[in-house]
Amino acid sequence: MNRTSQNPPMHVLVVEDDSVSAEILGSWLRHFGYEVTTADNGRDAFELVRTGRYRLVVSDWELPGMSGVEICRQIRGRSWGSYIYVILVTSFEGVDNVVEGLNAGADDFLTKPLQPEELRMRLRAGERILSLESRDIIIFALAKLAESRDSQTGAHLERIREYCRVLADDLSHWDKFRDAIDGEYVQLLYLTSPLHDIGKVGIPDRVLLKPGRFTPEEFEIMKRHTIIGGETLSAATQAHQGAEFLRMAYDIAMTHHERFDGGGYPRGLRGEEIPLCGRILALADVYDALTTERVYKPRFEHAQTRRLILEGRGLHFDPDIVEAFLRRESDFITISRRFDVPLPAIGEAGSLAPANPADLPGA
Amino acid sequence: MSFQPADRNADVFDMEDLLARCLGNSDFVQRVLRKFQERCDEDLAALEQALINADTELVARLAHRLKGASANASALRLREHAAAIEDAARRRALGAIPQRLDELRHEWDRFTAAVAQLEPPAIPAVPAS
Repeated sequence: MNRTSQNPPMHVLVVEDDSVSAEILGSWLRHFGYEVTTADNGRDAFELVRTGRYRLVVSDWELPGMSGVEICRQIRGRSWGSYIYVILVTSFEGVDNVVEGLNAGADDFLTKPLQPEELRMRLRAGERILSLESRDIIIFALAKLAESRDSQTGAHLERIREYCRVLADDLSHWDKFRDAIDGEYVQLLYLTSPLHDIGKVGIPDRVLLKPGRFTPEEFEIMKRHTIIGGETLSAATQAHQGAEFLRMAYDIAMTHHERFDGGGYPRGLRGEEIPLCGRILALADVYDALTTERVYKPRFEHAQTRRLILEGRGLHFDPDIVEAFLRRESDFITISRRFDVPLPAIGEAGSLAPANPADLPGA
Repeated sequence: MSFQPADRNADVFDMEDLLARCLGNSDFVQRVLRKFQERCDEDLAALEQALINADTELVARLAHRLKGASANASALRLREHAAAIEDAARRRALGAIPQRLDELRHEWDRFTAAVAQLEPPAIPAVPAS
């Protein structure tokens, strides 16, 4: 009730074994406008964190079983779709403990007895940091930069990640995908799907910006954007231990032009040889290309696009993902409208040349 | 609910502090005090048993928890007693604990008497969520 932000309330996980403290903390946080879930031990807390729903965790230091510091270590020891901000609550002061907590990856500390205003300010600081989360921003900026060379596609990346999220969210409710897709998977896909075409930075201008049709030789060069992107991301993953989350980005860059029937590129993978994220992206990418105006084609209506996607069921696309698309059609329509940005008039885009028709995904 | 007369209970628990930390909401105060009493009843019994078993680690842990809960309920003197017991247990000075525990018990009785003097809340207890 006291939050002025228009964003939906953030969900805070409180880990506290003392029922009095848990009662007080929970009441405060709800009063401040947060949604609150309480766990009274570390193991349950970690299971809750794994759902991907919590970006703010307030944990007592001393807990039966897994301590607050240990929870911190476990959280930092894994890659998540987004940063998780952890505040540890201690009943003792002292440099040693703070150092141990910081080493474990805690973001902030509070000393008992807690005061509501102090807690509120610390959580606000946490929210600010989460909102500035540099990794997400840098990833997206990188993707935008790569896209800027041939961008005639408006908010393509913004739409793509929304389509991917909708598809993954739908699949996560299927028995078949329950183990493969959890909250973390959905968030990672949202975060890294904009990187699918990052390899286009390695395609020479004479091909990437060519206004007419590609020759077979040029098309071979164009296809290489999948491998260039994959290799770039793979190198980044190997060089930085903390970049594990880029593995999905690698799969996406490498396989988003594969076709379910094996007729895609670069490797001609078929069926489930294609990583799930690549199969999801293939549909999202084609849907977006068809429903937006390009210099070489008008915008197709949803109904026409739907027909083309259905024709590609089991050929270009995984039938399960087509099914998920059909179940969430209204979300697709909403997203395509929300980011409906008109193309700049030719000449307005400065030095940018028209995109090549062969750039259509699956071309 | 009314918190008069405040002075008599001032050293037992700091109602002003508790009320402030309960955001001025007297139902919230009642809820916290009820949770606190449940917790302390259990923990005091467990503390005595742990002392009989000479389980210093458990004594320290229970006293620690009691200390935290007391601080949360603004029961300042209870907090001091619990802290002394925790400290003795960590130093493995078990001999000093029985007397401390008596004092804690006595303080606990004063606390419950002081809480009982508070007028009951105007509305039925709100279930803990």
